[in-house]
Amino acid sequence: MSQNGRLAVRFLCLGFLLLLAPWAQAALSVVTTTTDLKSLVEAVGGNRVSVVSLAPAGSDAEDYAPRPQDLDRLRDARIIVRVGLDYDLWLDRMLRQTGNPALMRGGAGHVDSSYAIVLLEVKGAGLSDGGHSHGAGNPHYWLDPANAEIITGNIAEALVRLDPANAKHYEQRRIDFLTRLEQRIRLWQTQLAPLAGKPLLTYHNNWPYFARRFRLNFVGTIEPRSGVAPSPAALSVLIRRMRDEQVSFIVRHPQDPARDVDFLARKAGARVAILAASVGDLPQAKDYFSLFDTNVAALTAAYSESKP
Amino acid sequence: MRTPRILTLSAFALALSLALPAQAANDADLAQIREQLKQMKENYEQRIAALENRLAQAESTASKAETVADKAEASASQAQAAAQQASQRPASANSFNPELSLILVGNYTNLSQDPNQRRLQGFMPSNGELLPAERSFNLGESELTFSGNINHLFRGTLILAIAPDNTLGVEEANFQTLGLGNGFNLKAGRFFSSVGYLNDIHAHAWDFSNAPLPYQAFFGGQLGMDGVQARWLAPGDTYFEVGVEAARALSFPAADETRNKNGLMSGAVFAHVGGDLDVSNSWRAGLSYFYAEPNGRDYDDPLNDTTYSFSGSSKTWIADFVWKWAPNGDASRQNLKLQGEYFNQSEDGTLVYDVHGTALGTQSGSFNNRQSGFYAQAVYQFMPHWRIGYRYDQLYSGNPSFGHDPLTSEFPSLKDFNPKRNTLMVDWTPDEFSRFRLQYAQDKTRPEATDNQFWVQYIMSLGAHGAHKY
Repeated sequence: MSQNGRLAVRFLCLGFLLLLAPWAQAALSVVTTTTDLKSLVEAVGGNRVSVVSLAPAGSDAEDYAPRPQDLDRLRDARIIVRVGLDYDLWLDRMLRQTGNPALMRGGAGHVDSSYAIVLLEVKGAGLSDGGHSHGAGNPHYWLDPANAEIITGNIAEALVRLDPANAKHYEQRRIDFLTRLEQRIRLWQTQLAPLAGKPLLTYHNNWPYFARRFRLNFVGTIEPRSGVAPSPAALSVLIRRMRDEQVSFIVRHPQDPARDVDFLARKAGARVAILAASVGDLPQAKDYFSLFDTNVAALTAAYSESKP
Repeated sequence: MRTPRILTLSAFALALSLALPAQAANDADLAQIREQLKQMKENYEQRIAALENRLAQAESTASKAETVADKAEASASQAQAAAQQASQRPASANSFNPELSLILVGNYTNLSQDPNQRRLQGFMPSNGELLPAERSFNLGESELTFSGNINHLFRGTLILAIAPDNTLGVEEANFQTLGLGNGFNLKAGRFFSSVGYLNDIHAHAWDFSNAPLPYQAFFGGQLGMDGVQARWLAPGDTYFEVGVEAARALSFPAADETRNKNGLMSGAVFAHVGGDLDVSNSWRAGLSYFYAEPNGRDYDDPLNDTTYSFSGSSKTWIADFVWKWAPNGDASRQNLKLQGEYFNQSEDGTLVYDVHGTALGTQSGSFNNRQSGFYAQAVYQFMPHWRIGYRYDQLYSGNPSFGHDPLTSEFPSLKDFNPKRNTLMVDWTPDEFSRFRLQYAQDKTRPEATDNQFWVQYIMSLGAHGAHKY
């Protein structure tokens, strides 16, 4: 290699190192089980964290089947943020397999974001009539935006614990985020005010927390039990009920079967609103804010269409 | 009420003091004064009334404030109750200590051939599971699992299997470490070896009702271990895990149960690699090796009225591969799983045999053989709750070499043959806790007949449930 060549290589190396310089202060690696939690960790951590969600956007995180590479994602993570309430039960086996004591329940890097959330549809412990002990309550608590205060609190606590040098940064970002969120909640509440008390039907029971925050009146679910499709007889009962109770629109998740929902809507003359239950379920729902923007827009659109 | 009274008194006092000089005044003046007095009196009365009014108002505001305070207190106590509820509720209903679950399995079997004549031609009987065992209704193995974290360091598991003949067996009883860190994990006790892919998965979680032929021929169903296992998950972006096991192996081909010696008996090593190709596709491949030194591994061949006993070395290689496809990583609606394993077993040693009814009596001779087999299967969930699957298994018996040229009558069940089987299944899984399966197999494991096997199986699970492995 010529003298010039060597010089060029040195410069290239130097350039490469300079490029890496901003990363020298390595970002805290965080793994979440769902995309919603990923969005909230990003909101608090900003550029000081690198976040990966194990369940990809648009998948059913409750039934997620972990893949081999997920073990490597977990192995090198400093913090794991989970939904808890047996929603992401599949994580436990992986945690045992990676054998990282800090990530185990009770470890410094284990964040169960359901901690201190006031649950809805609380079930007693033990074998429930469902035949199994799945969860202590309805696990879709992130769908009440006001719960983000508690969730980000749990997240910020772990971030500060493991990265105290950036504690101010995390606290400030969380406060900023919550301030913006509070304004948006008021906006969403105003936008959804006309729907207050109007009877709604949903395919799957994702929405109790959302409904409580925005005064929505879900009168029932289309599936008789979680994961069980309705029978034709059940559908006809629902049609009668929709007419009697003047249910003028139905809510479904993009992954819920459209056939039954559309059939009901057609028979009972109702509108269908497709709502995202998690970040990434719909292309517009890119982060925690747009998740609610999308859902509020879909609901108000369906409502204005349903008015004669 | 003190203030109005004082005001009234002072008003009268004032009126009196004003009235005194009036005696000297004339009538007109008097009238004027009276008029003024009257006005003043009215004035004071008005002011008193206004004051009284304001007082009443103040009083009612105070009581209102009290109500508000009461309300605030009530909501505070509500919040406290909620907080208490939040702190008291279990983090998960699975956090019972220990977690408890129960598996119930049973089937109905319809066989075109006599199950008493069933064998894997060309293979030493492993005395292992050869389901479907009997015709008609059969109870499967009921499995009772207790597991839980012992402390922050260890987790314990006990899995009891209750056989239909009312015998109780310990399928697994082990502890494993929780936090060795750096990807290390230790397990000790009784467990299923982690060689291959299917071996450490319990039968109720299999995709077909019975074990593939290589598992039946080379491990007698599943390879159980009493011993220790160490595994290490390598850092990096690609999944890579290696493990070693040192144990007393509980099943064919080891026959360590009755051995009387110190130190190592059977051992296994395995390595698995895997990764995600994209969000929808992932794979895992592995290579495993199992070594055992069977000593006096006895078995009867009732069909041919022969008793065998093998002593020597037994080496088994397994290559396994799994491919999973789930659109957008969401396996709950549609998914496809391709899976295959290849076994290669070589045994070298001495065979003692006793063919009853022949003049030879007990004979002994050197024996070695290399046998292999594989299975390949595809299971497709085409819509929620419904899956179909196809499996093909085949074994190669090889040509055993004996110390002498055997007479045909000596080893009829070891005469070379390549058993094969085609299996089709469809199952319905209303939810993750129950499954019904219809399976058909065209079984060509013996030269003289093809057995058409139908069975309907149910698998129920109650209680806490863990996640399944990849």
